[in-house]
Amino acid sequence: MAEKKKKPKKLRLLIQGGFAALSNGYLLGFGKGKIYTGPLKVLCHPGMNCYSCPGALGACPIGALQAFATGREYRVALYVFGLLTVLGTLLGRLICGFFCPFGWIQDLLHKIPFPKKLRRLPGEKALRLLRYGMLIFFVFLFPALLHDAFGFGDPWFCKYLCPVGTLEAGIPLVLANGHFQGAIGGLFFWKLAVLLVILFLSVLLYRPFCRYLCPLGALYGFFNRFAVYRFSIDTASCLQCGACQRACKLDIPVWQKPNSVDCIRCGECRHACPVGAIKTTLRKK
Amino acid sequence: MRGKTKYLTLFALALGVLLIIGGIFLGDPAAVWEKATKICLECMGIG
Repeated sequence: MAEKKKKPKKLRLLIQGGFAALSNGYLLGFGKGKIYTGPLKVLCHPGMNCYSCPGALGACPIGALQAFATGREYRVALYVFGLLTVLGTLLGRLICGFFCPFGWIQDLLHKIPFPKKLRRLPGEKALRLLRYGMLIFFVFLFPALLHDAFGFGDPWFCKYLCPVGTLEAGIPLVLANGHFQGAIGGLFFWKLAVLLVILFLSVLLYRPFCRYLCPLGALYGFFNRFAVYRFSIDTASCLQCGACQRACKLDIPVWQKPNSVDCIRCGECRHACPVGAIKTTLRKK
Repeated sequence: MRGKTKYLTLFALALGVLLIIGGIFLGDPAAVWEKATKICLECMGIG
């Protein structure tokens, strides 16, 4: 019975890779060192995908939120909030598990064998709160409140921390476009170091960026409890054996918290459950 | 509890749609497009 479902892991990787390729399908951009400027950029990508990636066909939701906050006159980005609210209400963090290109990259890196893989870091609980700090301070407050003499703010998260921008935009554009090579300075190397640490940590620990830093994951996590797609436990059949938590790479006690804010809906707990007690709103069996 | 969740879901969906419509009236999509179609030097780490 436990053997019945092994394919979904591969299926998820295929969906992730396919969506990442599709949403970064402007291949000409990689060759020319330029970005896509067509009408699709009016839409936000559901996951973390830098809009300055040469292949990106959509806008980055976190970048878009900050763009509104950094202007001379602060205005709430109603349209972006609306898109994220609808997406979050429909899917919750299933988006992180299936449709985030940077999540996919971390998943692939975690497949690299390493002598000792980690389940968690020391101070895990406190570290997981960091992503809320990212959302509140680096995405909203700092860009909105800390303005220069001309009245403009900085997109703090994109500028100082976001490893996605470095990987998808910084490195390819610097390599393909000579104009940018002369502009490299300390900030570029700082961001490169952040990226390398996260990529290396991804080999040891499952999805470190999503666990500790991702402001978009913090936002989507809020919807997990009442999203259209969510989990529930059939308490009559649950053995409370903990198999779901052992299978969960994010170390979530699924049998106690099926809609945890940390859950990215990868579904591995469901396949590990010996009695099929973890149900989804789409599949009750 | 299940009923409460259902109402919360519907409320959040309706709120999201209203925010999108409000944003469209305020010209948000154009602002998003304008930002997304220029290379973001800060995102690259050279801004």
